[in-house]
Amino acid sequence: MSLSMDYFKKYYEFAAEKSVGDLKQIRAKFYDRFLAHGLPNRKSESWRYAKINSWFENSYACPSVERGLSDFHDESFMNEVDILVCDGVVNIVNTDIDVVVMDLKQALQTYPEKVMSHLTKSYNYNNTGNPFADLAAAAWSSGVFIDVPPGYTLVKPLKIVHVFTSEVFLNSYNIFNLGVGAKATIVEYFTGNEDISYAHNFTTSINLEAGAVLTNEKLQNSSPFAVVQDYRIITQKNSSEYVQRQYGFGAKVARDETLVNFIGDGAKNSFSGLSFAASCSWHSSHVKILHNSSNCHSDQKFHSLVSDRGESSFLGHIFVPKTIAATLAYQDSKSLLLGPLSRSNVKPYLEIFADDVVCTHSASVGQLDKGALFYLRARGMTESEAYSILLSSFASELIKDCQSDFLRLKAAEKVKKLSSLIFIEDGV
Amino acid sequence: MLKIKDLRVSAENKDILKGLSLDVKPGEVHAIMGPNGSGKSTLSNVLAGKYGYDVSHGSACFNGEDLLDMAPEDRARKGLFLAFQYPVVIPGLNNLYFLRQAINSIRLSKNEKILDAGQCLLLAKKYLAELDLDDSFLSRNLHEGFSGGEKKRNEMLQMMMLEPQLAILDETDSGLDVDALKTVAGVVNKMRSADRSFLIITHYQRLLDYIKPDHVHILSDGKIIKSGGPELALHVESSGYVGLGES
Ligand SMILES: Nc1ncnc2c1ncn2[C@@H]1O[C@H](COP(=O)(O)OP(=O)(O)OP(=O)(O)O)[C@@H](O)[C@H]1O
Ligand SMILES: [Mg+2]
Repeated sequence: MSLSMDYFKKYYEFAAEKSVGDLKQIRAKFYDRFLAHGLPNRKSESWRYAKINSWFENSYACPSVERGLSDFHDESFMNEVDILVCDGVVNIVNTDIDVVVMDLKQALQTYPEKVMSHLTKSYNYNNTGNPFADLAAAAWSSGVFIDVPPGYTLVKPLKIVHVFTSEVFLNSYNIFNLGVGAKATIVEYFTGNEDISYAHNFTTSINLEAGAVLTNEKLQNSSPFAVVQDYRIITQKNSSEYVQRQYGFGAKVARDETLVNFIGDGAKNSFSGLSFAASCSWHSSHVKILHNSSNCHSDQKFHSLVSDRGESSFLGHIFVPKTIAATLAYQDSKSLLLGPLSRSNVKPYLEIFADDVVCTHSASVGQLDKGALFYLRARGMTESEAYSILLSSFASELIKDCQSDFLRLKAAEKVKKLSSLIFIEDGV
Repeated sequence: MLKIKDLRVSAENKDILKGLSLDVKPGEVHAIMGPNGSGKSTLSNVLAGKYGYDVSHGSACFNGEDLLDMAPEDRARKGLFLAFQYPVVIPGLNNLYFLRQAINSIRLSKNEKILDAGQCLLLAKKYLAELDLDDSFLSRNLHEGFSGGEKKRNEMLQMMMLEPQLAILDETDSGLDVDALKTVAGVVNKMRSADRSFLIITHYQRLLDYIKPDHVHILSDGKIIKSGGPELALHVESSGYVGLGES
């Protein structure tokens, strides 16, 4: 059965019906463009491996306004959370945060210009891009707004947990804004009940003013039946620094896309990603860096583990226009296929028109090193212990730098658990 | 302790070991010398349980048990240790963590108490000092960026910690400088005991200046063509392998 655009209509109408004025208009603009573009097809490189027709097999409910955590099975994160978003309902749990943190709907009342300028920016940046990002901006019914004032350093990381306890289709739109010289760490954890299916279509607009520094870490541990899409649009002014670390484990379909635009000299962007696509998961990560200013530095490091019938892809796109000087751009992706049916696609995509560029990239897809497996067994470890140690080692290069203890431990635990589920019978 | 009888081994349809027999008794040190490609590493790998080899004939028993029928980890747990000619690099695997996993999997299998991180660190530091390596090697990833000689000494560190009954040293001396060679020989000599044996594979007499072997064997084209005492190694050093085994 092929998916029609009508499928999404009720979610848009649900979100848009009560909107008025500018918001109503911009929602409509996004939605019109979403309809005009239609669903992405395989002609586009970044959607080549997506089987969108099979993504939305359910008719999910629209998110309701009241949701409790009562039916959630795993609350290990509860000590960690400052902002809890449950089935789209935003709860500011920690009321002691001294920067602006609020529900986007409330922000729309308090800071309408800021919110509208982010939405407008998203509209302009996504003109050739991702239809689902348009859908999120058209049909959002939930969102978190964070604004760190100029010169302010947020000492403690802000922790946001997104939980799903019911079978909904949630569109969200989030805004992280850092003023001149502001510093912050934002940690996000995505989870949901293991036996339910839901769709989370998530856009975050991030703006770093001059000299701002943001570390953004996230871990996706969604239900194995979930479809999650995460789209981040990042603008970076002079000398700003953005560090993104992401860890993806769960979901039936997990697609994330990061678009970075350097709009000031000397900005830095560092992306690292780890994905473990187990059983039948389809994981796809995309990073696009627009080196639209000089003296900017970007690097991406991506590792993926793929087991069973899992599929994973990484597409790293670097764009440097002709007039830009002193660009550094690094990219390194590695993928380990753990089963005969596991698949992976890793691709650098370089569009470099300037001369003054240092750019290195490497992409590899391989299998677990049998020699290393034997080495560990020759030291007394069983085959499955050795296996798990090797996978954890492969992942640890990306996990070790994670600032959030909760995410770091969770990521290591997930790798271990998923490794232990792989049964290997080749070898001796 | 180790009894190998008429062992024939091939890999990818190439015959490598062509009827090899060897008897190593408790407390003995045997040296094996032989030209490149004669099958020395194949012998060590087959004894340690590496996959990819076909044993078509013969047997290898370790303390009376059929070695060839055991998983590699069981051989290690029963006291067999191979110091690899080419130790593998594992990025992301902390050396100390690795050592602790190794020592504890062996201790567990013997129903001994496992070591916690602190105890393991103390033990490793003690042996590192004996090997002239500094503590920073413990916090590095396994063999990542180690020099050739450092890798070999890290193999020796593992041997010291795991206290095997039979240690096979596959060209541990290759790549060691003179001082490191003496250090390693010192370690082996210190570990020699009435119930521990060594099988030392080497190309050079030099190591045997420091470790006195009980027996020296010459392996050529998959067979032991001559066995003798330490004087055999001296002969190889001065005259090479030519003419050996023709009698
Ligand atoms: N897995 C394999 N597949 C095919 N050929 C192999 C394999 N392993 C070893 N060989 C071959 O068997 C022969 C013996 O190799 P081996 O590594 O045992 O030699 P060696 O005596 O240890 O040599 P060196 O002194 O150079 O270390 C060589 O010709 C080698 O190419
Ligand atoms: Mg060899």
